[in-house]
Amino acid sequence: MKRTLCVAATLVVAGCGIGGTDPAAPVDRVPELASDQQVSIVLESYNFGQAGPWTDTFTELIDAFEQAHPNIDVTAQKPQGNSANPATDTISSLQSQLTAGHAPDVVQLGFSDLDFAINELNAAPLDDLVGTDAVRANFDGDTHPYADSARTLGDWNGKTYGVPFVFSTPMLYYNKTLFAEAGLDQERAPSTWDEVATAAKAVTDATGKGGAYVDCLTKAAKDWCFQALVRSNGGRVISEDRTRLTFAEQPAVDAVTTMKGLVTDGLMPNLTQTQAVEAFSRGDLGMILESSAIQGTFLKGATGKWDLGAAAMPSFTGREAVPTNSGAALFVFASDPAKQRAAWELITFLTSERAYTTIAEKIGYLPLRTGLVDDPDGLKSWAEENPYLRPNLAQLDRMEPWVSMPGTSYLQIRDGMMEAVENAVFHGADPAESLRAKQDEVSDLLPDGDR
Amino acid sequence: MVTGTFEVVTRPVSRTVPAVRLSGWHRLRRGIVPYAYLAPAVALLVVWTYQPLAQTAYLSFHSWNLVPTSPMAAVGTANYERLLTTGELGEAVWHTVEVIAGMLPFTVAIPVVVALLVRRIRGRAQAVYRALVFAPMLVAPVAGAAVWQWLLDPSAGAVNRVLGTDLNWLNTTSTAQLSLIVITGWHVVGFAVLVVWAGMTGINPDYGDAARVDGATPGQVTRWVTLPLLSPTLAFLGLMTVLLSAQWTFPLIDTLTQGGPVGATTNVYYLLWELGFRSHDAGLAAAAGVLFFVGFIVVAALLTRLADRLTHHDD
Amino acid sequence: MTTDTRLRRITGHVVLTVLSIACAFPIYWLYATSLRAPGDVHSLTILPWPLSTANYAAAFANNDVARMLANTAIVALLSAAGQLLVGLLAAYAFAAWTFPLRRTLYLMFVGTWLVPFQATMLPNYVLLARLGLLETLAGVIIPNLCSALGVLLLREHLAGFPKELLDAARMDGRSSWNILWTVVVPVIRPALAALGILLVITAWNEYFWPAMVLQRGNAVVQLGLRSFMGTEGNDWGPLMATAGLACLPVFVLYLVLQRHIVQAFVRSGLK
Repeated sequence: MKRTLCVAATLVVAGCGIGGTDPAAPVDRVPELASDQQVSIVLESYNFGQAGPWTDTFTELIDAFEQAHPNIDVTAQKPQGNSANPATDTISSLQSQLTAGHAPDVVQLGFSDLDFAINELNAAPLDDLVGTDAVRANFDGDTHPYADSARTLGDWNGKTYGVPFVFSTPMLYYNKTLFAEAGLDQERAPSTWDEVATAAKAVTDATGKGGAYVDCLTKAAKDWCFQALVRSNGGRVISEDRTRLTFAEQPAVDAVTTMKGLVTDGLMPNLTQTQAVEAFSRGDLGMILESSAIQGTFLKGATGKWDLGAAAMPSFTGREAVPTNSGAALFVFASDPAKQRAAWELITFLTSERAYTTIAEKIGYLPLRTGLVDDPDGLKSWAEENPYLRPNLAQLDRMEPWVSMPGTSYLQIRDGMMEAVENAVFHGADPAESLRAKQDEVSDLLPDGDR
Repeated sequence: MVTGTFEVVTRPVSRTVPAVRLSGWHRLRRGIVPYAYLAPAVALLVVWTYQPLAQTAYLSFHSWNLVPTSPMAAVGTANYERLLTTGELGEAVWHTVEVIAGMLPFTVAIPVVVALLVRRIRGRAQAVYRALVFAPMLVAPVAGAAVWQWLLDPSAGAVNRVLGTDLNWLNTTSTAQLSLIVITGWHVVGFAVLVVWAGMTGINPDYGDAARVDGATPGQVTRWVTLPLLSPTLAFLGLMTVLLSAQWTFPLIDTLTQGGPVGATTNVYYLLWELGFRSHDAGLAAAAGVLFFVGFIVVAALLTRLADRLTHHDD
Repeated sequence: MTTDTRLRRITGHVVLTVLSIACAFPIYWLYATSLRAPGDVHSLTILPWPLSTANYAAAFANNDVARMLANTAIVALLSAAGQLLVGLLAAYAFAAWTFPLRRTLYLMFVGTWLVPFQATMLPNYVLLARLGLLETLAGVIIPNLCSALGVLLLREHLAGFPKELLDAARMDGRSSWNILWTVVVPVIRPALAALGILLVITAWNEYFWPAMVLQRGNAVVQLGLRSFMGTEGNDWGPLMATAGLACLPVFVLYLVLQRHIVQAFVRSGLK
């Protein structure tokens, strides 16, 4: 029963087309596939298609999956869109394809899109699709279960919709070579923001290079580690019941003011996210607070030129740092039962011990099945060669989830907030005013807001 | 040069040709012929331009998040109201005006000055200059963006290292728009120079000679003879700049600044793009599309009328 | 030659030299960077030395560049050919007949310039999906087959066509179709060629519509270029190499047909 959209007025229409339909029917358990039942599914991931190790890793994993499941054919694709960062295009790509009636079957979506993906785009509830036991069994795995804090990241109201796939935490990477030149202790990274400022000043004075960069303060960086900064200062960006925005309140304002101070003191250069990552990889920046996902890039840039160090996220004086997770989960958007089952098979494969071993070794992401790093048959030797893992693993205990904004205008809320932050930190606006004005403006966009 | 229109007009039949009385069917067939030739083009336009436009117009009166299983709620003019009251639109319009004003030197002023100065140059030299100056027009926008991003990189880029500055050109609110204008200007200045140059060589030298015979100085000749005769060309370039500069900058904005920093380079086209793809609010984006379409029609009509009134044609 | 004229000529040369350098330098820099050894990518020397093709090797390794170039060529050539044909037929109609609605239909063509691409892309995408043309080169080509620019330019051109030739042909009792192909086209062939080149170049550099239609893999070279511009830092050497490859066919065409190309573009600007 499709409500077709037909054109008015004088124009002859070649095909009517865009329109809404009835809401999705409730989801039933999908049967297992027969061994000779051919299914083809599409996997859409923003990691696929960029030149680099991710594409190769995905290809390798998919080939292995198809060998294990000869009746399932998987096509991988990247999100449709033109952004420099394909992760920005995931939702609009999914929407366009849903509109056209052929959504990909498995989609990798960032946690920031959780609310929207589940409540607006109707991601399939996996507990209903394959049963709570199957979902739990996948989390438990064969030998190494998911870290406790990682299991629930894709849940909503107690049901699992997304299986967390990759994630990282904010880490303070620093250039040991520059530290040495500046007379700082190479093995002791700053642990508070005051110490970061001191170290940055030493680096800029001694070497003339950039001091520190916090990649949490621009619209492009999204809000995952901005939430970490605010949480670390005792605040929140949105109230716990998700009805009120709170990013203009004192703890957040103080956090932004501290960051702004680094810029006005000449310790944090005005750079875009891409420029900062490049600068640090080249050895032109002393410290960078960055997702551990970028570690591979840093290692590549450092090899043979400078020494990379990694430490936990710095804290505000007198408080403990609260890191948040960035990353994505795998969701099912297929509507055909056979494809749904095939999609689940793919998800379990991509989140298996074997897949995580490959992903960790090839790309450097922390495996969500953290037990793997102690397993000699798993990643033990790799972990030993990778000292940067330890701070990341240690932060997992204190990690809090990346909170997604509610409602259909969630992106405008999030981007608006980050724009206000960017304006205050890098472009001279007053933090309290900038945040307050923006909070008032975007609060209207909350569902059941003042609209 | 042969002018005169190529038109089938009923002419008196020559006496040597027997008069043929066309039957109704034949007359119908003959009447249909032009439409038959036009049919492919018109069909394509209707299917791929006007029908989607109508669909977009329809959508602009609804609220929808593009998901087929979600209902489209009719909201009347709410989308338009929201658009017209948001501060973003006003800022985007202002940025568009800035871009147009910034582009005019590149599409009109510089080309006229250059064309005036190089009238004497011909032959091989002319061909070489022409080839070099026109080249940027052929560079793909993405490739152009890539090399300019490279040139404008704050620490590694050639511009900063040569000038000795350390400005982040594309990421500082005061310089981002300027940088975009310069890059876009670079793209089209060669084209504009050649258009004006060609226009100038098309001017009948008799006018200038006549004026000189009357005692006019070269400056006066330029001001009162050459420029007015160039005015259709200049009017065309001006019109193109006003209507298209926002579109020209679009691939650059999308690749280099994404409308930033903090919205400093967002013009109406980019705002439209953002509303459509970032807000996931199809109704709002549709309303913006319709609004800009109507707006540009109005602007184009006004400018064309203005241009007609101001330009002199060599009749 | 008076000193005044000589001074003018020198001024002219100076001005044009400055302008030429300003215009050509970024293009030169693009190719120069792509030919540097990977470690030298940040070097500021004017001439790249030692020359190295490592960046091009990386570009080829990461994308099936040959196939991308071939695809882009197919799209560009077929688009231009289609646009020429459709445009020729439409221009012929406008120029050869007076008929009701002629002015309205003409305005329809002009009006397409004012329709922002962003306003029509989503309905077009949905339509393509329904026609099953997503992920195909046909889906990239077909929606753009009517080029308003082509129609308008050809109409201008045909307006000046010598009447006598047509009258003579019509006297012979030939059909309008016959007249078009045997009388008109041979005479306006240069204009068709010029317009064709312009359309090929425009289609080659097209970006947004291919990005919407072709999602799996980077089928056209402009998209392949994008795949190098990631957030994890740009890989400048291979990026410049790919950019260079993306522009190379157009530049080669330009070197060979420079005069015609410039003329084609410039004529589109003159009324």
